[in-house]
Amino acid sequence: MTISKDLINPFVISAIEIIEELEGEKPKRGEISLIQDTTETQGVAVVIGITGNIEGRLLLDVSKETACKFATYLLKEDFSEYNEIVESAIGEMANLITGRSASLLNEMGYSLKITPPTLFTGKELRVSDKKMKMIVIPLFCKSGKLLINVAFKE
Amino acid sequence: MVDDILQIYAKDPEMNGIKPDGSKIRVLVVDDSLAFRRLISRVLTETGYEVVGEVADGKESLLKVAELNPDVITMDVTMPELEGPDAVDVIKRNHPNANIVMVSSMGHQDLVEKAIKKGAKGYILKPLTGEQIPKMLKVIKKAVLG
Repeated sequence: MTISKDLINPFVISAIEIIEELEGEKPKRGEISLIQDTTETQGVAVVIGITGNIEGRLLLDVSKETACKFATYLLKEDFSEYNEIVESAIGEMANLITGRSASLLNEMGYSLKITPPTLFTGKELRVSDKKMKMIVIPLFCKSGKLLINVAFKE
Repeated sequence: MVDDILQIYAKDPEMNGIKPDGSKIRVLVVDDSLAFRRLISRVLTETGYEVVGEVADGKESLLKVAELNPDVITMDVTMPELEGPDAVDVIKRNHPNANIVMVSSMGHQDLVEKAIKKGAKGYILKPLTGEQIPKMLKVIKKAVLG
């Protein structure tokens, strides 16, 4: 299956909207890249499954430092250290982005559901998808770099 | 700065958690997100409400409603074990006077509508931005006092 712009744009639009609502400033979008096999994350990866008439997943990839800053914006209190509350906040952000994306995609005629987020942390965390091509879109936010990694089954 | 704004809302009778008799509105927070439970509980506490409990799934909320008899329940529409609208249905059948306000992110309008048909009195949108907080407080207060 070819991953069309129509399928990717809702994720980018939703992420930009949510981040702008939180930070008060629109993030800048970087160059899109297509990754066939394996990629290394920045330290915190949230994975949300997408099911329905297409199957795939969204992976939000940030550093721990950026995760703390997003948590600060989301929860309106300071987080200087990465902990379970920051983890929960990033999971919540992923839910918000994917929920809004699924809504946009469903308006386009897709019939999609999203799964609860799964969070992975660690240095040199590698993501490998043999069956799915990954499209990676970087967003440069006040809090740091967020990589939107979308993959759909071929 | 957020705390300053919450202090202002705490003095606004349309938003604060004080009933006409001077007592505090008692709230049960039901949400599977630890982060969101923390945020909503903090906002409610700082604006005069009493958060009597926090629960992470719909099934547990049924027990807590019976145990705590809160004035109002804030409930996420999507949760493990028992989804929001289904929890509303069971709660309202057992506690017809229960006041329930749904919490939802975009993309779940169908669940919000289902919950309202089952007896929920309104809804709050996530993320809880600076603009959403006063809206949330008004919805919760109105759910209790009418």
